[in-house]
Amino acid sequence: MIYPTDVRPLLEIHTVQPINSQQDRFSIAGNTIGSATAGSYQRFHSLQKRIREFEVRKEDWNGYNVSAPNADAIIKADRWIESVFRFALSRSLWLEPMVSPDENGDIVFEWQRGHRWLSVVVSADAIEFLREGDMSDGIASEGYIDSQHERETLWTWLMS
Amino acid sequence: MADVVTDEEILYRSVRQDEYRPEAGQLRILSTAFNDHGQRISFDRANLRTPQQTRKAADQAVFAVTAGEVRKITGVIVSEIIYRVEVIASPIDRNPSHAHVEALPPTPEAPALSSTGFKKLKRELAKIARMELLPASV
Repeated sequence: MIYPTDVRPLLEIHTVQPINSQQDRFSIAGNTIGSATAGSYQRFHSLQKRIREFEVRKEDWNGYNVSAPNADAIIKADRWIESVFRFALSRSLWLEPMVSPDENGDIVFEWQRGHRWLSVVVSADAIEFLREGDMSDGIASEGYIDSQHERETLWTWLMS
Repeated sequence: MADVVTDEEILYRSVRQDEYRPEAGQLRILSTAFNDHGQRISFDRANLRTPQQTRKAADQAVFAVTAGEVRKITGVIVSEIIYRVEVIASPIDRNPSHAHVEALPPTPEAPALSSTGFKKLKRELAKIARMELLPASV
């Protein structure tokens, strides 16, 4: 398979160090392969930029008669993913999501890590999740994220 | 006679470049690649349209599934109700090849698909779709 040349990089699981760390390293799938602490921040800011740019999309942006992205959902998604990133930094493990609006104008984040898949839909008034994979932890397979604890529990599950 | 989409038929869907990426040696597709209104997901039938005709813009790719693969989906489950996934021919004026995928309640008494159920349908399609045509321009 030949892929387009401008697709974003392969799966990135970064062990992120403090920005002034001398040990500037990151890993993919647990194997330290390079150095890129500043790069991790840069990629995150690039993700935020992509989210904010959803605002320019009009109705029918994918050609399938969908709603335009909701401005309030964009703002909320931007803040929400930043809170996830900050928590990920504290755990030194960040996995960049794929992100896109859905047909209702809500913002969807999706992560895949091995068999674990997590989708989070941020709308103007709620944050909903769906997950697949090892779910022997007693957490529901779907529901709403109403608290910092729930957000962190899901992230910990994804990255464990 | 009703126009039935056979299991062997290939279905095409145009997908934006920011809704897929190579990951761990595989092409991963976002479930949002199947965003559609009214909980009916549009496809073109390959026996009536080429991938090039399906592509909505030069910078989009075209992904394919077979109707049989779609009908085998069993992962659209809401409150322990398993929804049946069907492919239905639904030609429209500007596109006689148009068909759509929808998840139907297993019995008349079962509730219509919820928004969560529709998210699951899109997720299941993202699992089985494969790239048919690269973008013409990047």
